[in-house]
Amino acid sequence: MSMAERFWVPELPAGDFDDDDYVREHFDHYAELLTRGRYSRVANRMREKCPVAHSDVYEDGFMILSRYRDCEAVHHDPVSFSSYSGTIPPFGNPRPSLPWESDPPLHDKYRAIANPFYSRGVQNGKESVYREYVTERIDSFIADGQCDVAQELCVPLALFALMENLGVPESDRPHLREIAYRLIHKEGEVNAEEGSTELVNTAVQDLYAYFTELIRLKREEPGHDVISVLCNATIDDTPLATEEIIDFAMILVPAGFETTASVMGYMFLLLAENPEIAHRLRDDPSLIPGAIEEIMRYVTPVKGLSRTVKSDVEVAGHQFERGDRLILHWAAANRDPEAFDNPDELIIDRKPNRHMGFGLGTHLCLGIHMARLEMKVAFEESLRRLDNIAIPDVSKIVEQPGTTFGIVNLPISFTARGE
Amino acid sequence: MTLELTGLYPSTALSMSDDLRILERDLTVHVQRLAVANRAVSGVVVNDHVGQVAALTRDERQRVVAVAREVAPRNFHVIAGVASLSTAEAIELAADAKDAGADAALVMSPLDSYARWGSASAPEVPYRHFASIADAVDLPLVVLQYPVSSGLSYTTDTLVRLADLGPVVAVQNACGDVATYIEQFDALKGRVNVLAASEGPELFAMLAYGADGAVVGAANVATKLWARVVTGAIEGRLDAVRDDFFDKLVPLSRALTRPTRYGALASSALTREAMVQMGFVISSAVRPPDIDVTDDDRKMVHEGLQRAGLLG
Repeated sequence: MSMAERFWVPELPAGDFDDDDYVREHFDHYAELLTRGRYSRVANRMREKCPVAHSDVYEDGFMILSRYRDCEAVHHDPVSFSSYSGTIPPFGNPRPSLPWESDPPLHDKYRAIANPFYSRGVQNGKESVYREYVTERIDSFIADGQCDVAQELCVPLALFALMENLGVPESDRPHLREIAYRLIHKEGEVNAEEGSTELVNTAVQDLYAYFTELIRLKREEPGHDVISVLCNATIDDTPLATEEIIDFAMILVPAGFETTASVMGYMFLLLAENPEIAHRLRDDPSLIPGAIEEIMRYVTPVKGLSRTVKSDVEVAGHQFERGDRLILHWAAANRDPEAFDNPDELIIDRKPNRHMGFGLGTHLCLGIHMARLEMKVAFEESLRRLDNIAIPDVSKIVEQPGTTFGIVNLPISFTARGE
Repeated sequence: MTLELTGLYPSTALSMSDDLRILERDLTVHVQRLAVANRAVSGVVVNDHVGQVAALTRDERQRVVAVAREVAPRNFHVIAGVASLSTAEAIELAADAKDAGADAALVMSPLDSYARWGSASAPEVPYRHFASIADAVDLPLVVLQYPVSSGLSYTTDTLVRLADLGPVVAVQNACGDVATYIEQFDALKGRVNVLAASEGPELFAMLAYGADGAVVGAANVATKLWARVVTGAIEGRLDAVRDDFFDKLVPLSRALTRPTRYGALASSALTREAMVQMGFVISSAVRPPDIDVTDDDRKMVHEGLQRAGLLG
């Protein structure tokens, strides 16, 4: 396959982002020019040339930390760095989303409520349900020899898992699905076209209204779902207010759905463009969990999240002052040669692999086991039933930048394997 | 005492549930928000009039300080109001505040009641009150100077006496009269820091004349703008901040204070309502005898927030 036929081509020109001086002051972590694998190449150069960079692109300017060790230090210092707000620019939610934008000790209390539900043991109990759903999805397109795997498998699976965990009744699922699609159609804070911000805003309002109703329902008829867990939870003997539960639930949609769908999209893209990986994984499925971690590291769909300095502190020789905003540049940290051997190679059995694709420290992704399970099942079933996965026309692929970079459309061709 | 109080201190409103429990989570998040809003925000004042101190139990007052301290960053001051008509109780409250992690106590007048008996005519009363607290509790103290119109304000001589007590580190001067403020600022200069306090347009003149910082109830919202304006005015950059102050912040303050209806320095209910409309907290409920907001109040607050450029 020649370079021209590939989608993932880090060597492609990246315009202004190929200019060191420009990147040092004007880096835009949402730029469309950074799609198709170029992000990591530019991030690598940032880490090497200006590991503590400044950008004037959003807010009143912000700093960017690109070395693994510097990002790690900040992750482990919630006393000096607040997680609110979690993105630059902020989503605009006036109260922090829970728990990811809250700080210890309150953060730890919220996590203590939700962690058991999202534990490996509880989540692994849902494997057969996910597998059944993935089987249905593959059944729906396998005879065609082609599909848009992003739209026909990755997004539906992530949304299905999200709604299962939220305890959304079957009758409500089309409604919530429609809201979720509007929500991630375009992220309002990023290069918003006229109209798309409005679309997101109405989706947020509709989601708020829906969760208000769902919470009322779960208070009356609790189920085995995270909303019921939150409805029955107390902090310091006080039940959570409805608004707190909503603040919790609202972020679960983009965090629990968009991110996982994105990783799975990249997963299929990399399988198609690297058939030798597909062969290895098919021959030895025990490599799949490690491969998922490596794809998380290699792609890092969430390029980084932000922090706000709470107390004056020095990191990487830079003096940060209270109120300063910064981005922990996970995409750059995950390619740091100080932390990973041959960081620009996709090595599916890489060990150790302490990547930051799911974050790090006290804010490690709440849904990490849920996401891993979804991806594992999708990988296993697809490799078991589909062969010769290929991309007929890379021009049909749509990759969307944003807080989460994601593959929106990924038309693939394949042959069905014998059952 | 080496505590140096400078910069902006929002006088923090509490959020309460419909059954009038303190919503600690809202307080936590609010202090967190204020702490990172702007470097010029140096701390918070809790348990003062905006925080409905008179309606809180002793345990609640201590808990409010503890919650704020828990989330406040290092070097972000938590100043705890100490309000009692009894000196013995004020000592206990100051000790509670210290135990909960307060950096300083904002001590209110022992004559702080609606009776307006006139502390100016009995300067020995507040002096003994402060001196007793200073002797009993190892905690920096801030003197709250009341509006002249309240009948509770201290004379300049009394203020100087209080300022000379060892633990007193600052005077929060809410006298409300520019001429009086200037006289008292000059008298206190070099003795203690002066924090200008007002919800009215006179604040600009107070800051412009001289202040080490400011305490503002309306700064629970538009905090970044308040920080820029207060800092600019103190530093003499008056042209740069004048328009923002008079065109945005004065209308906002006016919307959050209605003395004829609420009879307080700044209305707890109106401030909470502003925080609700901004989405910061979930309830504007207040404990009696304060009065919950009406629909007209909500409209007025909304317009004030719009004038400040905070709502579309």
